[in-house]
Amino acid sequence: MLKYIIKRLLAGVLTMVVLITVAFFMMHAMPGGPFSPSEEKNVPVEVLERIAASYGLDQPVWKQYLNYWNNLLHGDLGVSYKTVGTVNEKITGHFPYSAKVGGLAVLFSLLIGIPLGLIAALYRGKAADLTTLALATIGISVPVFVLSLLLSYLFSSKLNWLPTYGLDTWACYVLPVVCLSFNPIAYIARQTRSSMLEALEQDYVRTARAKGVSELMVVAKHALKNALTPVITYLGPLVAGLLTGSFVVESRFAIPGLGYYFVRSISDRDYTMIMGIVIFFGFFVVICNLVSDILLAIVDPRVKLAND
Amino acid sequence: MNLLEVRNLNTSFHIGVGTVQAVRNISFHVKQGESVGIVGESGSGKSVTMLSVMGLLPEYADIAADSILFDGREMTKLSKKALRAMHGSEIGMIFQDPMTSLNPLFNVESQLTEPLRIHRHMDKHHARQRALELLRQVEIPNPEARLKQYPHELSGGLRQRVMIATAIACGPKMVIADEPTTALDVTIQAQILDLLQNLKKETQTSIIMITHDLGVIASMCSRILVMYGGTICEQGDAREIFYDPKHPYTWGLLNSIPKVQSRPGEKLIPIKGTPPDMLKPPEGCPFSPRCRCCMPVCRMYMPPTVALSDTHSVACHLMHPNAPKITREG
Repeated sequence: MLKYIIKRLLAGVLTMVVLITVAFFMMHAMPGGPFSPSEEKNVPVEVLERIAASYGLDQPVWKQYLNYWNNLLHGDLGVSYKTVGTVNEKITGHFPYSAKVGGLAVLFSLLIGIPLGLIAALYRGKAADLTTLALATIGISVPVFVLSLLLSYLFSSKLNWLPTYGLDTWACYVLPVVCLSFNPIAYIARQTRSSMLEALEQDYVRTARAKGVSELMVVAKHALKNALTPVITYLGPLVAGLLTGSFVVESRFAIPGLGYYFVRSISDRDYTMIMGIVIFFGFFVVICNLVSDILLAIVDPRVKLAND
Repeated sequence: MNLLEVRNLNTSFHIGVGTVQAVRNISFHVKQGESVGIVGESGSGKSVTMLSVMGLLPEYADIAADSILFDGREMTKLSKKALRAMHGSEIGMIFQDPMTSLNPLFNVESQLTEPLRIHRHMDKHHARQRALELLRQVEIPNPEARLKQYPHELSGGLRQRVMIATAIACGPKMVIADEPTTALDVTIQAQILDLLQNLKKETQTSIIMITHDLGVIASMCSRILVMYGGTICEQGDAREIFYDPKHPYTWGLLNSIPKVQSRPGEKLIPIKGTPPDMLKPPEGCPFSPRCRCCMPVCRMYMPPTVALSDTHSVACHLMHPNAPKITREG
């Protein structure tokens, strides 16, 4: 197990190196820059050049790249060009907001999605199943920006039940969490339903019944454990995606999370900020995938062998 | 004494395009300590028969029987809960494919001790001790290590031994083995059959062996039911079926077994044609379309079952006094 984790972490380091390199050069390939005269029209060109030079932006790109690595290996993600403070501060300051909303959304997705899929599978072809399938289809096809608009219009503007912005009270969390988890719920419900139906058809389920195992335990123990393995695989990307924040949801509900800053930093050409968040997200995805793979290996003893 | 007595069992499945009549009006019995073989080709209804008796078919199966008596109890009248209490404790089942019949996510101990904990209410420690005993009984070497292993870490033969150990865990009165050796190598097949035979000798358990392989039956069973098209076409003692078969289908089955004394190049004689479509089974004898002795009456009327001795009975129009005398050879 330890060997496997180390191997995966080394692979993760390689992933990060490639990610940083590609992101760095792609970012510099974008037209314009943080202090380009075409964007900052009120500032004299000489001043802009001085500012750029003070950040080392007058140097050739490969040199900047090496400098960046030098700083990075010392744990320094640099100073944000367009906002006050260092990138490290920005990430540690804003990530908790994204993580709180995202974490709740992950929990909510699992707590709603798995039971929905389970009920649909057990009542296959009946009303509960058809309703779940219809909801799941809507959940997968309705984009987040439409949903967040509709929900905030209905529950905030018209009914005035829930606040439209901020994270001050628990009620503020409702709409963003629902919007974030709508799509994952649909996915998890469909996945659970289909893998549960498959599991219930398996020979080992018949064996369990032939042993006199109660119907509840046949479903909850023998079939469900098998049916949840695809959900566990999905958990890695899901957690990484939700915890790092969503631009649409965060900007709609004015949540000061990372997702919002990420998109802002790109349009601002805030190089250090872009790189910092890319590295942070990349790292997060690598770790989440590793954790979900380990989780899968714990649940499914066959997985370990396949990877060792 | 009859341990199991089934009278007029009919099982059908309602599917989109119609009703599949998988088992049609069959009656049989199994005595205490007896081993009975049910033989027939794929789709003849042999597995469905036993799953119907067990009540293990999916909900869309329609099971109707005048009576299914097991150990003096009428199984058709038992509640689901009462049936469940018999499964795994009084009746053990062994299935065809040990690769898929064990749950891949639970180790041997968990799966083997499950019936003990459910039916015998054993605690973890006692169940474990019993599990070790069982693994020794089914001749698995190094049982302590095996308990912690998962199905994918075991060979097919070992898995089937684990299945057998699970089936006999609670000391059942009857074990139903549904093609227990079909998915195994020939050498492993022989070992598993030996094992089953030893268990039967030691424990006096009745065994119902479902198979399409008459060779397996010959070594194991004292009585044989031959099934075709959802009906029992012939039943009798092993001796009667092997040395004095009366039904043309039984002849066909026997002719298709390879013999040790066959000369190289000598061909087996297959039964021509395909099994009947059970959505629309033939009106008369189900075997009539493939039967080399088929008479006009065979296509129109189901043959009655004629008893030839206390044990031997045949459902074939050739048994009628006025029918032409045809033998297996010609």
